[in-house]
Amino acid sequence: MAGLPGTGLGGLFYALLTVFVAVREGYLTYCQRSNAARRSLALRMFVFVVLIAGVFGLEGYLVTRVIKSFNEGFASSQISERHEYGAIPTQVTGPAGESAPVPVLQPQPDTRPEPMFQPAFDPVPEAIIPALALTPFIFLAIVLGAVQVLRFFVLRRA
Amino acid sequence: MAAIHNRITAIVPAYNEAGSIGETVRSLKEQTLPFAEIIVVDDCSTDGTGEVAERAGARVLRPPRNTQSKAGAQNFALTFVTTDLCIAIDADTMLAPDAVERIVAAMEDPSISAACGFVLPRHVSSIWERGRYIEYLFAFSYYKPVQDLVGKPMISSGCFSIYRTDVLRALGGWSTRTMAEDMDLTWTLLAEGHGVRFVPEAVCYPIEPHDWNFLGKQLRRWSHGFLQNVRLHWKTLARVPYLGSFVSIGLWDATVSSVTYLVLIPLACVFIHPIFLLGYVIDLPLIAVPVLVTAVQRGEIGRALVSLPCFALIRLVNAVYMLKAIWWELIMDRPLLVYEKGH
Repeated sequence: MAGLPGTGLGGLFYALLTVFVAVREGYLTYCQRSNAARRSLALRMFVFVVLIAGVFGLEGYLVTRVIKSFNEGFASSQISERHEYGAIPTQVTGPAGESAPVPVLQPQPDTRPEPMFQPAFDPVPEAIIPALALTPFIFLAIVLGAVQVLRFFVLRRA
Repeated sequence: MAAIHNRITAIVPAYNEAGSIGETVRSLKEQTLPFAEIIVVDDCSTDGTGEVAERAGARVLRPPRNTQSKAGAQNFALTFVTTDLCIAIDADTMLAPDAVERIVAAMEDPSISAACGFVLPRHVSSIWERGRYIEYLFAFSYYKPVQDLVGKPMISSGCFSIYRTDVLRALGGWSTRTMAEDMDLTWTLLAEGHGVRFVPEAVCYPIEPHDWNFLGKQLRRWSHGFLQNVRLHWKTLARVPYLGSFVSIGLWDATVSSVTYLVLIPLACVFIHPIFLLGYVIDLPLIAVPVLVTAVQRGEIGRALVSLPCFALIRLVNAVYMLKAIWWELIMDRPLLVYEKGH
């Protein structure tokens, strides 16, 4: 609604309602109780919702890729000494199967220059995308549930 | 259509609108379906509004004293209406030449008591006008058609709506009890079982806020008006299918989104991770799809693309005004009582 902030929950609600209306118009058409203008409008709105879903899918994919690449960049900048000197063998055996003393690699002093850039932020929690996708559905269910509860009590009193 | 020729009266409330009333009256006189009468209520203007309207060809009524609100001026005119249909138009709103012909078509159905048209800003140049342009394109091409498909348009916009005169009179005209008389009237009509329609082909062009002062007054009136109507009608809303859900969702988006944009996202960015900045643009696809598709159909794709970022800004301003309205209306219980048009 113009003048009011936010479209998140409203956008989701109207998208779901559009799908419902499209299905209902399909049924009314089958029962020959619809008209061309309503069918056309319902179809137009349904196409909007399909497009919106598609663009949201693309947005989710891109954001996920960005987060993954950010996290990979973060991980590669946090190379441990263990990675630096390779895997340490746990057991060394001779040709006859006899045990040999495990060579001990002494860490060498790190003579590399300080990295020019340190990551400014922690890695992004990978769960953020599913959480962002799921939260509006939960809130919408709460709001619509609350409306139905209110409706029940008001109608009961009336 | 000929049968409804001369059955319509235009009511134009005006207070210090000398700069725009002439164009408004001329656009009414140039309609493909003429009015029986064009009434301009000169609400004790001091800038010669009445004289300009008279010169343009309207019948000008002057109440004995300023009516203090748009609804008061409209009610004053309603007593002079002799036709069975009347159209309320803002003094700063121009109509597309066929707007009346198209909106009247909805009234052929006797179950329909009110109908509203598609609203677009007349000028789209400042940041605020561009933001409002996107808001209107989005609301009138996505929300409102769905509301119309279930028979419950949430608001029959005050800047351009048609009503059955007898129904309007039976309800006592436009109520002055809230700052959003159009919302109040629409919810009352729906609660009384009257049909309301949205006619997207009937296009009107109001002057939208071009500066901060005008925008502030408009948003203050809208945000307070919305909350006043929710307080007034909440029991009624629970009884009307769909409308209660529309208003609840709108209220949620108005309150929770405001807190989210102004408080939660900045806090999350500072204390958790800057990735939460995505919250400001995460719903961009939702807005962009209906806006751009409609803009392409109207041949305004460039204007829409340039205006999209302004929407993000005006949304933040909306959030500030909504939170202030919540504070004064719901927490401090000090409702807004003074109607200020803004220009």
